[in-house]
Amino acid sequence: MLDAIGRDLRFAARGLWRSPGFTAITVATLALGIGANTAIFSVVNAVLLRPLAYRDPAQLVALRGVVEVRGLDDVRNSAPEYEDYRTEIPALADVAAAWPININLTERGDPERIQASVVSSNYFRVLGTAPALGRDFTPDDDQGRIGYVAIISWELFQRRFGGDRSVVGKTVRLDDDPMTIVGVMPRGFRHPLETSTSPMEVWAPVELANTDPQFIGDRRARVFEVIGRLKPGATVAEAQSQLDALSRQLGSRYPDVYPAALGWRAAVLPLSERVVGNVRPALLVLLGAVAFVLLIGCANVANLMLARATGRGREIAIRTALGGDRLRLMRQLLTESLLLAALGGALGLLLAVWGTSALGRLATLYLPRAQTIAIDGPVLAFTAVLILVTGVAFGLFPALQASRPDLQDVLKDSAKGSAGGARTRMRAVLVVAEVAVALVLLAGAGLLLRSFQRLVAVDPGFDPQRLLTMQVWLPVPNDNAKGRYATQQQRVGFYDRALAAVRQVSGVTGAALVSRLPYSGRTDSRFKIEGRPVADAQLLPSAELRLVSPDYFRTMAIPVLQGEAMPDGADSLSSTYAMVNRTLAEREWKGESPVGRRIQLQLFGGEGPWVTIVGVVNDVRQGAPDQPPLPEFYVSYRLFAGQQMSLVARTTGDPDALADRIVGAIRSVDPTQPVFGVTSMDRLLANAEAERRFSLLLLSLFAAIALLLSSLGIYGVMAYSTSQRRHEIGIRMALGAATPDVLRLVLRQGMRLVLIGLAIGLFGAWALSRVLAGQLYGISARDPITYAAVATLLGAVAFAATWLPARRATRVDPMISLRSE
Amino acid sequence: MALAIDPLIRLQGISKIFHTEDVETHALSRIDLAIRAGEYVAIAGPSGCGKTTLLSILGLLDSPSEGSYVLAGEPVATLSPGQRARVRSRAIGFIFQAFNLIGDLNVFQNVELPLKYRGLPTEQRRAAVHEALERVGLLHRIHHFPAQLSGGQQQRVAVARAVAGKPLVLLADEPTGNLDSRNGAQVMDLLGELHAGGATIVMVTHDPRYLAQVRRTVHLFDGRLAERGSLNLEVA
Repeated sequence: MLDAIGRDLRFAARGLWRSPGFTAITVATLALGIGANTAIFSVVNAVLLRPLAYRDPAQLVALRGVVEVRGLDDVRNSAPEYEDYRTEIPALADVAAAWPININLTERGDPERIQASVVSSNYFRVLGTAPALGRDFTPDDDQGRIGYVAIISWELFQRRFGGDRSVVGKTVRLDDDPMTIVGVMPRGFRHPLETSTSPMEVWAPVELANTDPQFIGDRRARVFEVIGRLKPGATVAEAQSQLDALSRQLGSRYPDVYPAALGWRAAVLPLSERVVGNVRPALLVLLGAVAFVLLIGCANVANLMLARATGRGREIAIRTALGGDRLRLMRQLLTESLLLAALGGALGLLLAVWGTSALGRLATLYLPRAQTIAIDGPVLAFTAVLILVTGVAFGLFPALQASRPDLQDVLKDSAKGSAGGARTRMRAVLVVAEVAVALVLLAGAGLLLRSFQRLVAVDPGFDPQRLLTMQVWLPVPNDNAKGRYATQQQRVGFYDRALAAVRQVSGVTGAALVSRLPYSGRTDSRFKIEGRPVADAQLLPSAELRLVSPDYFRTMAIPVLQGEAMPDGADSLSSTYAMVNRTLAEREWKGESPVGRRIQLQLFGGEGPWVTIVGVVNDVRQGAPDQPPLPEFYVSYRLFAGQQMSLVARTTGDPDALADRIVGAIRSVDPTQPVFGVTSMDRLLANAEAERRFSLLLLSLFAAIALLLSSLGIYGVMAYSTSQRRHEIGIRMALGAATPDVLRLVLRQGMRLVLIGLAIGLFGAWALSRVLAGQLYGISARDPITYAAVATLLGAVAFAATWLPARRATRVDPMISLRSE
Repeated sequence: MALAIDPLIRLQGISKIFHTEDVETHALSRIDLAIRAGEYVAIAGPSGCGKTTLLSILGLLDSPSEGSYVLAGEPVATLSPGQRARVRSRAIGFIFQAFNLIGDLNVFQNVELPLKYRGLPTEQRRAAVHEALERVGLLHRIHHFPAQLSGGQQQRVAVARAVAGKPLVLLADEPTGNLDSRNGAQVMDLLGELHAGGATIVMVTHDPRYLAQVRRTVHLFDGRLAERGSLNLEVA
């Protein structure tokens, strides 16, 4: 048997070697298809399929709050809620909490902002991962509040401490606190809910049972991500059922925190779903698209194989006439298909290695777990299966057809006109299928493209040109009273000096502060409107709150629509002003001017001061470019100067060129203060569209490949068919057919298949439209203009692919009709 | 104005030279030939003597290297391919040795084909096809495909296709070459009937049995004419 397979392989290899053109085109087509599938599967495998890198990851769940009234389904949890989950949900074996924060590392080199997390001491045990060096946290480490010990990531250990193992037990300054490093996590350990661009690198323990409302004991202080581990045998549904009961009990126990009208409830879902749930639809669309590309490639190769089988009909007929059995012939032909698929797969794998690396870089901005994208065992197994399946898929029908030749016809060499009916029909079916599948892909890419065009055309509400943005995080020691920026006055002092220093930089025409840059998350805050009493404080209106310096609107070029901009220098506690955006003004004052009205901010600690609205500004897209503007109000940063602020600087030229000098100006105020996230506003906006850009780029690439392959397929089939019909065309010319008649004949034949394919493709695109609906903005998934445009494009390309063989057909010498075939 | 005795076809000094690399092959050399309307002429000669080349020039499938060709009073030797196609569709009917019916078209569509290329309206085409098929006795096979017909029937369909448009001349290339003797005789009888009805027929054949049925035989040898039994019409 092995000998026979070896003989078949050698025979197939010799056959392919003798047909270098056929072999090259086939292998290149398969390499494109298999390579693209392998690359996308490597992403899907890393992001969706590979289990989370923790012990028994299927047992891990994420717990979060849902506030139905406000349409929020991913609300973090407070420390008391964490304690409730831990003690009152029997389905959970244990629960851990993490509060992501920024800290400043100010030793061993330049000050650096680090993504950190204060966690419950059982955090690593719940995840099931122990430190690689040193020890885990113990319950005593937090000392009732936040402990002075830290565990660092392997990557920080290497980058900042050069892999020096003696760092364990040493003390470093983190946010001005002396923290003793007690452990180093293993290489590759990641916080499950971090973003790829901002990996967690330091963990410190916190006491979550601390009931001090000024610390973390307030039920409304929902800052913790909570991760649970199910007991063996327990299910997510059981846990959810118990959480539902707990939610009802909490509503009874704390009606002021969980009023029924708010619709708060705790929800649980598998941790893996929490990590990747948002990107699943986009990745599955890409996987489907790339499978379509392979289908088109297989159709092309099947067509080539059919043509090749026809060309080898005589050889096969002779073998059959000499007694070769059909199974033996089929095995030989399939061996050739599989050899071609293997060659295509090997080349495709090389393409995929390059593609995977590029995809990893592209996806980092928005894909969770993007750093783990790689060609590994499961990806190689997938490629091997793909090679086998494609080899059989494109080789089986031609092998079946070729292995039962009409001996009399072939050996007499008297076949006339077109080739065998079954093969002709199969080729026609393959062309129709290629066109249909290509149209589905083109429609998808067209919809994403038009959606993206609309997205980038969205007015962000300000002028993003020549704006540099950056962030600072003032250190917060565990004992805040000891901090250099513990008081409002200290923080305002730093920000004022930093602003003044930046404004001195040559080329800077304006600089301002804002608590949160556009497209950088939400800060929802409730407020009271003077003269509108509300019985339940939880039901007060809420809006996005931005703390800004008075010249923020001028620096960002946000138009003031009513009233005036926030007065400069008049923003103190005794004289406080606010600006509202158009959406908030219309929502709360419905056609009346809010200028002169007063609102009162609601804070964790109680009620804030009353502030007077002095103006209405244009809407700024804060959430995301595809989300409608949120109601928003702006108050002076001098009221609540936080630890974290962003700075925007308007420049006369390229903002990136001034980055070092602007950062230097801030550092001149405090050399130990890291400045991070330095980027132009243009780039910030582009990053906000990264996910769509990623999908658009890949789907467009696949659609372009599909267009190329399908046009090559149509060309190949028409060229082959025309060559088979040369005698018939000669007869027609002898009977009086002129050049236009022959052109029409071939074009009609080709375009009939194309039109059938287009019709099926349009129906397919229409039927599959809902899978893209969630990724579109400002355009229907069944947009007729897009459908018409892509059908026209594909039709035009197909026409060109048919035109060339048709032109060639007109050059047939009619003398051929007088010759015997 | 052409006189009644003007020939339908007049070839003067026709030569055909093929060039392959450095070799020059004279397929036809200075052929002079005139064929009157209503004549039944056979072109005979051994293999490779130029019969088919002469037929292809007569049928405007090829153009001569030298000489003039006047068909129905019009010089046609130097027409463009498009013009030649137009003349073929209006003035020439072909009958091929291998029948050359188109397998994907049924009998009606095969016979209709040259009429479509001529641009005749549908009704006229239908009437002409029916008349032609009736003439060859195959009207009952009008919806059959070539593969469903015998060789003799296929050639009769080919004859119907050739005569349906009432061409000025029928060119037949070994019309019995692919038929057994019984079917061959039937086809020859059919051609005889057409000739008796006034058709001008030029037939290439090397079968001596059928040469007796024609009024005039033109013999070719090494591309040169050696005519026997010719009326050899002198044209002023």
